[in-house]
Amino acid sequence: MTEKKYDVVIVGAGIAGAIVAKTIANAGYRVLILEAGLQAGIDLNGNETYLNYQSYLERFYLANAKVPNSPYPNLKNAPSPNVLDTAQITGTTPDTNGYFVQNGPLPFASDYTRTPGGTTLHWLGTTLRMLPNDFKLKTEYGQGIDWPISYDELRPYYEMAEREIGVSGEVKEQKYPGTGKNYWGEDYVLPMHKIPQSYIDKKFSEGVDDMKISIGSREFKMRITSTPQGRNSTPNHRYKLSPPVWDPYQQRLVLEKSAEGAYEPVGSTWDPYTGQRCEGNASCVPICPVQAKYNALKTLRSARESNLEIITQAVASSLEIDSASGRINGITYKRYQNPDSPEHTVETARGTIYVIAAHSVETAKLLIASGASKTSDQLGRNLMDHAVFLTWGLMPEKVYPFRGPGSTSNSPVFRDGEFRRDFAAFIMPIDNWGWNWPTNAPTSNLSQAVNQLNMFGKQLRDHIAGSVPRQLLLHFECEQLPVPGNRVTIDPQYVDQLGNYRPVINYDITDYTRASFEVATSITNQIFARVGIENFSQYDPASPDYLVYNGAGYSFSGAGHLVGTHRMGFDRYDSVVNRDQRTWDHENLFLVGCGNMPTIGTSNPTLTMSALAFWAAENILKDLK
Amino acid sequence: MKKKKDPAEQFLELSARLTGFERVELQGTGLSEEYYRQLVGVIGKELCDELCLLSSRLIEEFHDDEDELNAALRRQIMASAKFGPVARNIIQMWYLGSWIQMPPGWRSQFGTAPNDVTRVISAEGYIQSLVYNVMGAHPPAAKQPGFGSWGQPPDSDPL
Repeated sequence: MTEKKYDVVIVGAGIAGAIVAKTIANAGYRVLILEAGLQAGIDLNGNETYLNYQSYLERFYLANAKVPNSPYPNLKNAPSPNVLDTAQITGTTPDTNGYFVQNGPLPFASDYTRTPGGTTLHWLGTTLRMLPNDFKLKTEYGQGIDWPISYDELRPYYEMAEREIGVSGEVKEQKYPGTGKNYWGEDYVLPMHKIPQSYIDKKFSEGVDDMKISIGSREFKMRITSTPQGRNSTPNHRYKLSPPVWDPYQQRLVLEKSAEGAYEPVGSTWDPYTGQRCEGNASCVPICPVQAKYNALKTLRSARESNLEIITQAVASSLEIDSASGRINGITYKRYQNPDSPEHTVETARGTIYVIAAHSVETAKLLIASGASKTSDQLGRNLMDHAVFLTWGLMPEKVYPFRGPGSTSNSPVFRDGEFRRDFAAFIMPIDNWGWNWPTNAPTSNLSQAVNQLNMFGKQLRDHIAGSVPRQLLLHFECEQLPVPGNRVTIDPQYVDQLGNYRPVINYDITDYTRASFEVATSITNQIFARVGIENFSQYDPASPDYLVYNGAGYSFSGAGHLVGTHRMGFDRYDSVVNRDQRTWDHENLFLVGCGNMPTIGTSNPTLTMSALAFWAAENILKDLK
Repeated sequence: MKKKKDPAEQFLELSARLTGFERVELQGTGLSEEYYRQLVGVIGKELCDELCLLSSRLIEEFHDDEDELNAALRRQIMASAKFGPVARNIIQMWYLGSWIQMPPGWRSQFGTAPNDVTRVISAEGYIQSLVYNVMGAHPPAAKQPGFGSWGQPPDSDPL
């Protein structure tokens, strides 16, 4: 049997791989995707897609702990991390309880999903662009490193990403610090109008808009704005752009005005008329039942089918590297038939160009396991996440949380400024789901009322009705800087049942980010005092990610924003990929995904990563000509 | 002669008293019989009958006076080492759609059953969790109220 050769072989059917695959397949080239997850997750005909998605929903309903990965199959042949496995690391031995081998000192508390569609199945869907100064943190504030790409260069690719994901938002309301006039293109609008802001947002804004916040000698003016999101809303009739297409003459992707006019929301993968609008299921994380929220299966579904082949249950295990040229000759993968059995065959996929899009940790792991990209010694390093610091209280009146998308507004005030010389920038989303994240409300409220307050009957009913609807949660997504010691490695002691490496993680939070927890606490105190919010925030010293800064204790959580593990840079000694997203050491190997981002800024990274995936696809197409 | 109520009916009446919901509201979930079966499955028919009979007797005796009835339910059921934890679990079953494992003290005194483990009883149980009705909300991923509904207070405040 002759091995089939593809123009491009991609590892991973998540959003990064899907965007590259679609862009290249639609330009006329033959693409293969290797996907570790189950075939059932990618059957692209209506009925089976529906039934499989219903099985995710059913698994969610029946889960005791409704964590981000709870709806999706956890595969022994391609395991995913689970936040429930996060625990304090004590003594000198790593915590090997979950999929990650955690060396600490702090446990890494974010997850991802190894299933077709990837982590977009359980992402929240927030689609904020990064800020111009995020790309030059070193130059502007002497922190972290600069990107080899500027915001202005990336801007057209942000527009492609916003088209692909289907972003809802009001451009005129998106005013962030440190953005000039040209942050948005002239007359630019997003495909759909904003997702309506929640009642909580309105009540909270009434209390805090224009209030002065003092942090040391600095003063800030509080402001709340709507958040752009990758979920379906009312189309904006002023939006006229078609999906990006490859122009072989200009050698670039072009996003042109469509002759056909209005943008149409993309519905579910089983029925285009399901999910045309967000229906308020209030479960974006971990599953949108109607797929009004974007997921990468939608992108795969719109790729030219005749040019795209997807092999599922195929776990990439190593890259074949030509020792003389450094070029990649193939990708070896382990293919399993039965998800419950480690039995597998070993096969090789061959193409002209190879793209690894397996998510930050898995991509780094695969390259390390293959002995690839060693020159810079940056592979696997600089693992970053947003350190999520939560504060919560009871509003003076009912605001009716647990409704709508997870968050519909935020304060952008602390996303950029001179203060970044001293402490980490953060975005402050207003949460719509009460105290669910920090306290497991409303289950915990009910349990407390019944078991500790000894309530029953009408008294119980009135107590819940009178208190839980007043819950307010703020969160502070604090920037982490690239630190070489925060890293993914491998160790032959730790492998999964297919014999592939498990990620070994070292992780800590520096004082630069810890200082922001102190600032966030001060902001919370000032806001709560002004609005009359009863503060219930408390941080359990036994919680997995508990730390002390300036004598005060804080807990934080992971944001699921895994960034930096195969970063781009200016030369082969400071980074793994160049500005084209091509590995410095292997001419025909591109990496895509958040691992390419040199810094994380204060935006949820998926939109930026998607823009970079279009950018990478364009460079690949230039190679293929 | 008054017809004697069967234990499942007595269970429904007790559930109404414990949860603060009307009998008809509980019936509307379609889960009353299932929850009765779940209870019998964990604590056994005998204990379940005993509880249902006791509650039925109290409800009949104090049906004219809500406060008296609640006081009697508190003293004789909620404060009872045997029935208190069971009653609290009945409340949590209705409000959360989950069975919560009985407290260790109760288990050592009154026995353990294989299905006395913390678990979501069924997808439908989760969807019908009463706690969300009380909050003016809905269970995440079910009974979605429609586009933009979250921008306003809920149509009817349950209080």
